[in-house]
Amino acid sequence: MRIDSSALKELKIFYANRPESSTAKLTVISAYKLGAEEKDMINTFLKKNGLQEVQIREKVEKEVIGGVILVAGSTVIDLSLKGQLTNLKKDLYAIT
Amino acid sequence: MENLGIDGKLMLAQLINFAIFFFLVKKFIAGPFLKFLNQERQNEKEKEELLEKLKQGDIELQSREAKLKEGARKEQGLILEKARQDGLKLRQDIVLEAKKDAEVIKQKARKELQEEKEKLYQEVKGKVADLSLILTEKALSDSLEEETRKKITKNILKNLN
Repeated sequence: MRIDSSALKELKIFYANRPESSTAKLTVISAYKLGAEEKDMINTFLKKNGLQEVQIREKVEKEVIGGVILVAGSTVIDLSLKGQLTNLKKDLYAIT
Repeated sequence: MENLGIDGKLMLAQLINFAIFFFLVKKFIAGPFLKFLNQERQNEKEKEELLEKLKQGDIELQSREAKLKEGARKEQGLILEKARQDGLKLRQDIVLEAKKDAEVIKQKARKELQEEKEKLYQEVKGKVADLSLILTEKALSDSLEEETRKKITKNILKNLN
């Protein structure tokens, strides 16, 4: 699954423009409570993209089905199965 | 003469009387009567001539009237024929115009029907897509075990890095 580059850019801008005093926060929505391995993977991804020292807040939503949704301010990176299905629906509409 | 019983004087007087009588009759009766007869004959002749002229005039008038009637009949025929042709042309024009209008209406209706069909088809396709995705979503939500979900999530996150 690929991340939309513009969404990633927005995420970076969001963290770059935050007040220095405030801690960077990221909400991770998943269908179940994430384990250590998954959290590590998310942290690796964030570090790789220069987003260090980010405080992760977890949220469980069963409708996500699988995968995760990353929310930072108004920026949303949807890496969920539900998101994939929604994209598929959009594609179907575009085809029809 | 006397022996024969003929009186000469009487004879002479009778002759004179006859001559006077003849003269008077000729002068005052036979002459005017003859003149009157001639005049009557002349009048009769003039009347006949006039009558002949009138007859000729009448014949000529009848002939002219017949010609006029024939002309009028021909003209009437022409007018009727022209009116008939005009009527036919007008009818053809009206029919043609009506056909054109009908074709336009038919085309419009066909187009509207096609558009409506397309719209309906799109709606149905949209509904089918919606329903399919809802069913898929529901099936995945209900059937996927937590372990599988974790595997999916890990797989997605692995692909990120």
